[in-house]
Amino acid sequence: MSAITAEGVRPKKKLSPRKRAQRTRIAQYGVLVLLVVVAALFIDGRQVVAVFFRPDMVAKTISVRLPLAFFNTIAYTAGAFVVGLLGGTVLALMKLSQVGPYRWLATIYTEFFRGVPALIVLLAFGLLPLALPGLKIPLDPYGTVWTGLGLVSAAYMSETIRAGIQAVPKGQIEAARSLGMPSGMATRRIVLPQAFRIVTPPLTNELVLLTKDSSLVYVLGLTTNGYDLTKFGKDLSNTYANVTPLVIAGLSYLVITLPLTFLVRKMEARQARSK
Amino acid sequence: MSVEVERTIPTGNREDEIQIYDLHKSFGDLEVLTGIDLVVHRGEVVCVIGPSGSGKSTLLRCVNLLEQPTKGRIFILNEEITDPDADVDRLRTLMGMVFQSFNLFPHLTALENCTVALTQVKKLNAAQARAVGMENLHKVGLGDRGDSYPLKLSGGQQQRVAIARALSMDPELMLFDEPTSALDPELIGEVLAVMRDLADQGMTMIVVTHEMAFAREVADRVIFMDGGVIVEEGPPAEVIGNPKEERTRTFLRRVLDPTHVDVLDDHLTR
Repeated sequence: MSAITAEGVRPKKKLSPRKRAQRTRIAQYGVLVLLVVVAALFIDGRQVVAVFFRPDMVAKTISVRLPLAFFNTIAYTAGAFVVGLLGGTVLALMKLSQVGPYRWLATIYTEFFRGVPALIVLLAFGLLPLALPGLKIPLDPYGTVWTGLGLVSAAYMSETIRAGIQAVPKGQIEAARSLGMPSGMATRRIVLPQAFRIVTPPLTNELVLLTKDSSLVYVLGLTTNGYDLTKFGKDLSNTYANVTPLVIAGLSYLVITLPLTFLVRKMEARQARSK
Repeated sequence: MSVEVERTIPTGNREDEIQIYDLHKSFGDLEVLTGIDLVVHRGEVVCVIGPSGSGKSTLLRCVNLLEQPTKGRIFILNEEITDPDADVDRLRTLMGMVFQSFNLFPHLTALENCTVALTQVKKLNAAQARAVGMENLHKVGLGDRGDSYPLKLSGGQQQRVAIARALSMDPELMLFDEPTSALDPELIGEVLAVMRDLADQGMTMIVVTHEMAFAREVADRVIFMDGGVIVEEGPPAEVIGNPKEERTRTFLRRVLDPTHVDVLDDHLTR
């Protein structure tokens, strides 16, 4: 019966699905080869290397303050992350509060800082001492960067953390309360540790984004000692009219972000397995 | 009637561990409990049976105030837990609760599950807490699994850890909310055995359960609930063995012989 429907109805010759898939694959490889050939024909390799990856410029870039810039990028990011994590946790708890005004405030905060470019927040933050003459943010420039970037990332993290808290089953709170734990203790000891375990992968992704966002500090008018990777690479590139330092700076970011993304993938795989 | 109730409660009798008077509970428009009166004495094992939706779990959850009653008063050892000024957290330490879905803390080991409230709530030091926790894990037959995380244990083992966790607080009484309903059939026995031991040692227990054999053998009193009220109560031999109420008979017929479908029953109850 099946033979009739398969062959009898359509006499026209047609490729089998497997044949068709094979041809599509051949076409895809063909396009790839074509692109490589075109690139090889029209791009002068030596010129490209001379601008993007000149060996003597590589050496110069690495010897001049690259370690300091690398350190600064990590320091800016780490500080902002800590501020964001603390702020995000407080905001998440506010969003789950019984007190209406806390919920509204946290929501307004989140929507504001998620909707405004981080660049503008940082700029405004750099100019804050104009508005408040007495204000002196300690640990300049680190303090300014940490609070500025931290305020923005707190908004993003608060949503993640709130979702994490809500993902902890209600029975956990009930079990804790039934053992006589007051509500605050149950949250701290039982709910938050589990919530943070759930949100570690997305928070690490946030850390990767933050590492790249730390390049925005260039708007703050830093001294050379405060240069981060981007500002450092851009400066050298301008001086020598060569892109190599910027490329080195970009690769340095990868040294930080690639292990983190790798870690996230590992953690996500482990969580998927334990379910 | 209310005047009389005011005069008689709390009884003040030290043997009356749980006293429930005129308990009502609604969720929105849905009335789940409509007037429950119940006194549980020291050392008594009370099994609560009844169809799903009859309010038996809600009754249990009202006792330690996981659900706030809509109306009525509840006394634990003659102290009113429904009093707005009551120290609910302290009263809860007197009652161990075991949940249908275990609710073990997955980020803590079996032993830490038993000790976390001891160090945090009872302010015991780590060594004391550890000793108490290990003693209770031994009691449920899991003395060698203290370092295991809950998800590495079988369902029956998890529920036994949950019992050990509740016992670690040295409670006066225990509340069991369908403790074996989430277990595979072959794991039910080990949990019931632990509960039977507890009963033999004189623990005051309220057990919401579908295990009729357990209720028949271990309970001092069986309560049949339906529609938010206590329909029938008494010794297991009477309530399970020779029920007086038609509703009890219908329920037991269905539970004891699930394959038996009596079309006539449906017509009678409609």
